[in-house]
Amino acid sequence: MTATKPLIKDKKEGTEAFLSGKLAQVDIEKIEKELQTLWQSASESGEATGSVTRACAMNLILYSEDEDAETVAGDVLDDITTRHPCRAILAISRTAATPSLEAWVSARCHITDSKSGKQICCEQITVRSQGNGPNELTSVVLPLVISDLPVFLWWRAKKVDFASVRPFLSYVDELIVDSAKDEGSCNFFSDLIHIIGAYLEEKHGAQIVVSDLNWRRSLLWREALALSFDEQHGHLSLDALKDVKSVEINYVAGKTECKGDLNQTLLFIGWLANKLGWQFKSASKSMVHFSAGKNSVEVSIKSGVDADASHIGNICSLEVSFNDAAFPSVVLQQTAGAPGVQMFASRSAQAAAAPVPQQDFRFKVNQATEARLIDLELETIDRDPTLESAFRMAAVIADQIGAKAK
Amino acid sequence: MVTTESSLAKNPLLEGMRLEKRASPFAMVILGAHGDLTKRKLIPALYALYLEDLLPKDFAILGSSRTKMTDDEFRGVMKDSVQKYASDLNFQEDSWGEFAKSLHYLAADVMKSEGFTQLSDRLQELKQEHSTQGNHIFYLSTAPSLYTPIVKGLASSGLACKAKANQVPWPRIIVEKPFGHDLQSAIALDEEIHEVFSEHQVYRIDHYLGKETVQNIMVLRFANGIFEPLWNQKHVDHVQITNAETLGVEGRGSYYEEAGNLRDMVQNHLLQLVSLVGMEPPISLDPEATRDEKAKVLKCLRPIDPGEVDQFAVRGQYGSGHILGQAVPGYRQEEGVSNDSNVETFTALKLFIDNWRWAGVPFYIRSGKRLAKSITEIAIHFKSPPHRLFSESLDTVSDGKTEGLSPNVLVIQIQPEEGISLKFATKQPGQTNQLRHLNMDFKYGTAFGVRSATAYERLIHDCLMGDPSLFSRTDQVEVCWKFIDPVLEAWSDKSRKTNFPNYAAGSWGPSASDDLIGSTGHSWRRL
Repeated sequence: MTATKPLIKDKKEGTEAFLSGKLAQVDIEKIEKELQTLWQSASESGEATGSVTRACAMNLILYSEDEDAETVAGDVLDDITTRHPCRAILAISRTAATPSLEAWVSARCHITDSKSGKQICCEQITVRSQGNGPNELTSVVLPLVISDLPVFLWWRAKKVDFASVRPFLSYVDELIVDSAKDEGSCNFFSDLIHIIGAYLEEKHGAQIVVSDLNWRRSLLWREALALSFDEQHGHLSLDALKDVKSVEINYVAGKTECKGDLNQTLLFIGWLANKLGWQFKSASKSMVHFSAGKNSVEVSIKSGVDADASHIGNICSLEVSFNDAAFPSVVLQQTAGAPGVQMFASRSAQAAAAPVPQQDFRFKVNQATEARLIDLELETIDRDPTLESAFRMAAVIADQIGAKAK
Repeated sequence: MVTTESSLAKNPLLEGMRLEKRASPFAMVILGAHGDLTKRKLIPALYALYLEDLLPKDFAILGSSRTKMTDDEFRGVMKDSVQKYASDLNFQEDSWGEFAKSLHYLAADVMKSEGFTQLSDRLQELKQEHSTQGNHIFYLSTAPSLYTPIVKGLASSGLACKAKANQVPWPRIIVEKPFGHDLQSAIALDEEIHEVFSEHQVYRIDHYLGKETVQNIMVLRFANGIFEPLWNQKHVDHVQITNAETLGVEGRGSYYEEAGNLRDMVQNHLLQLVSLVGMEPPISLDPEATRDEKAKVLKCLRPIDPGEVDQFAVRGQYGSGHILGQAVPGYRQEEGVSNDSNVETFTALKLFIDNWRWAGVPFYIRSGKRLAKSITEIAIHFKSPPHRLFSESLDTVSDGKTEGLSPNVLVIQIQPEEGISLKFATKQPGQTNQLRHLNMDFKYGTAFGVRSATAYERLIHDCLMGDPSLFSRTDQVEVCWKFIDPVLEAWSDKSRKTNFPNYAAGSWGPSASDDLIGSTGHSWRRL
C-alpha cells in the first residue's frame, strides 16, 4: 500500500478548487482532517464572498470497478445532490500489479440564490484501491461513514460476490444493485439472495433493504398492467386475471449476449406469477410454464434490437391473452415519440390490426436515467416484500434457464 | 409527489404498489381573474404544477371577470405575470405554449344571470375541447360581497349542486378569506354555500396552511419522539406567534378599512397556527381526523369576556415613520383610508387554551403592518431548568431561582425563510464557566437545495385531488369567529377612545403590546 502526500498546498487556492468540484488529493490517513480544514476555510471565505452551507442528510457509497467510475459518479452526483445532500464516498476497486491506495476530496456545490451567490455544498470522497483485496478498501471507506445518518451502498459492478459485498453490509441500510449490469454470474438473483441470506444468518437481528434499479425500470409495465384492470383506468374485468392463458413479453437485447439483459423480464415474470398465484413448472430461455389452478399459463419471451443502447434489457411491449374469448387481449406498448405506455384491448384480430389506444398511462419513471433512478431510491428506505418475492421467483426461473443452457 | 398505498385488494396486481395519485381531468373557473391574486399566485401555481407534471393530461382554466379580453390577450397578461412573479420557475416558451393552450377567458358579469348562462355554455365547449369530463372547480377570487350572488348563480344555472363524496363529475368551490365579517355573517355565508354545496365540496383556502413549514409542524411534533413529551404545560412556559410585515395596505385601503388586522390576519391565519401548535395527535392522517383535532383545540380557547377585552387584546394603528430607510406615510394618509379611521393595523392577543395539555400556558400572538421587519414565526419558550448550577452566567438572580437564565426556545420560522431553530446553552471555550446561548438552525432552503412548492401550488393540487386536510372546515371558521367576536364588538364601540395612530411605522407596535405581555412576566422576542 502506498500513500501519497497531500496536494493541497496553498490554502486559498485549495479551497477554491475544492468548492469548484476539482479533486484534491489527500493523505489517506488524513481524509477527515483535510476535509475539516477545507470546510473551515470555505466557511471563512464564504463569509466574505457569499455563503457556503455544507449539507448532509445521508451517506452514499458508490462501489465500482469500472474505468469510467469517476465520470459516472460525477454526472449522477451533480443531478442528485440538490435533492439528496449527502456525503458521497466513491469506492473504486481495480486490479493492478502494484498495490496502491489513494484518496481525493471535492465539494459538489449548487448555487441556490443567484443574487447572493449562496451555495449548498455536499462532499465527495474518492478512494481508489488498486491491486488490493476488498478489506483494504473497506478499511478506508467505512470509517468515513457519518454516523447516525442512513447509508446507501450503490453496487455498480458487473458482479455481486459475497467476498466483495460482505465487508460493507454491516454499515449499510440499503443495498442498491442493478441486475441489468450483471455480467458475472449464472444467476444474479440467486447469488444476491444467497449473499443477503448468509449475512442475515451471520448477523442475527440485522436488517438490510435491497433494491434493484432494474425493478424500478420495470415499474411502468407493472403499473400499466395493474391499472388496466383498475376500475378507474383500464376498466378491464378483474375476473380475467384468473383466466390468463398466455403472456408474451418483448425486450430489447444487446448485440452481444449479456446475462443481465434478461433480468428485467425475469423480474416482471416473477412479479406477475406471484401476484396471480401461479406455480412454476419449467423454463427455457424463450418460454416459461406455470400452472394456475387447472389451467396452464405460457409466458413467451422474445427479444428485439434497438438502436439506443440505453434501452438494452428493457421490456418494450407485452401482451396478455385469456382462455375465455369474452375477455379481450391486452397489449401494452411504448410508441416512439409518445410518453408513457399505451394500452390496447381487442377481442378480434381485425380490431387488433387497426388499434386505437384505450388508455394512455403516463409515469414519472419512463426510460429514466441512472441518476433519476438513484434519486428515487434515495427517497426512502423501505423493505419491499413484493420485490423480494419477485427476486425469489426470478431466481427459480433463471436457475432452470441456466441449467438448460449447460 | 402524492403517493398512496393502494388498498384495492380486489386487484392483486395493485397490492403493495405505491401508486402516484393523479388528478382527474377538470376545468377551473377563476372568478375575478383580472385581479392581482390570479396574476401573482394562481396562474404561477398552476403553471408550476404543470411543469411538475402534477396536472392531468386534460384540463382547462377559464378566467372570468367583467373586463373585456380575448383568450390570447388573457394568455399574454398571464405570461407576463408568471415571468414577473414566479422567477424561480423554469419558464420556457415551449412549456408555456403548451400550458397556455388550456388557458381561456370569458368576459362575463356574474351579477347578472346572463353571465352564468355564458359561463355554462363556455364550460360545455371546454368539456368537448379539453375532455374535462364535466369536473368543475370554481375559484372565488372576487370581493367577498360577491360570494353569495355567485354561489346562487352557480346553483340556478345548474353549474353547481350538492354531490356525494365520490360522485363524478364533481363541482367544487374554493373560497378565499375572509369567510364572513363576524360570527353572524360567517354563519349566514356558510348557510348560503351549504344550500348549494356539501361541506366536502367547499375548500376555504388559508394560504398559510399550505406553507411547507406549517405542514412541518405536525411532522416535527408527531414524527419525532423528543418534542412531544415536552409539548405541554409541564415544560412549556409560553408560546409567541408573530406575524410582522413591513408593507402597508398597498393600495387595498378600502378593503382594509372594512377588514382590519384582527379579521384579516388573526381570525384565520394566526388562529390556524395556534391550532396546529396546540392540537392533540390525530388518530390518522385522514383529512377529517386532522381537522377534528384542530377544531377541538380551537373550541378550548378561553372566551374573552367583553368587559375584559383590554386585559387580553391590544390594537394599534401605524403613523408615519421609516421602513428600511424610506419615509412612509401613516395609515390614515393611505389611499382609500378615512383620515379619522379607527381601524386597527396591529393586534396583540393573550390567549389561553383551557385543556389538560395547555392549562395556564399563555399564547401571545401579534400581527401588524408597517412593523420593523417582515417575519412570521412560532416560538415555543420552554421553562428554565429547576436548579441554578451555572450561577456566574445568570443574567439576574432572584432568591436563588433561575428566572434570569435564558430558556430554551424552539422557533418555527415561516417567513421569510422557512426553517426551525433551537436555542440552547453551551459553555464558552476557555477557563470559564460562562454560558453562551447558541441557535441550532435548520433552513429548508439550505438543507434541501430544491425549490419548495408555494402554498398555492400545494393547496390547489390538494383541491384537485379532493384532499381538504389543509383547508378550513366550517366548524373551525365558526369557532374562530366566536372567539374574536367579543373583541370585534368591543373595538367597534365608538364610545371607546383610541389614541390612534399609536405606533410609528418601522417600530414593533404600540407600547401597550409590551405591557400586555409584560403583565404576565414575559416580553416579546427581539426579532
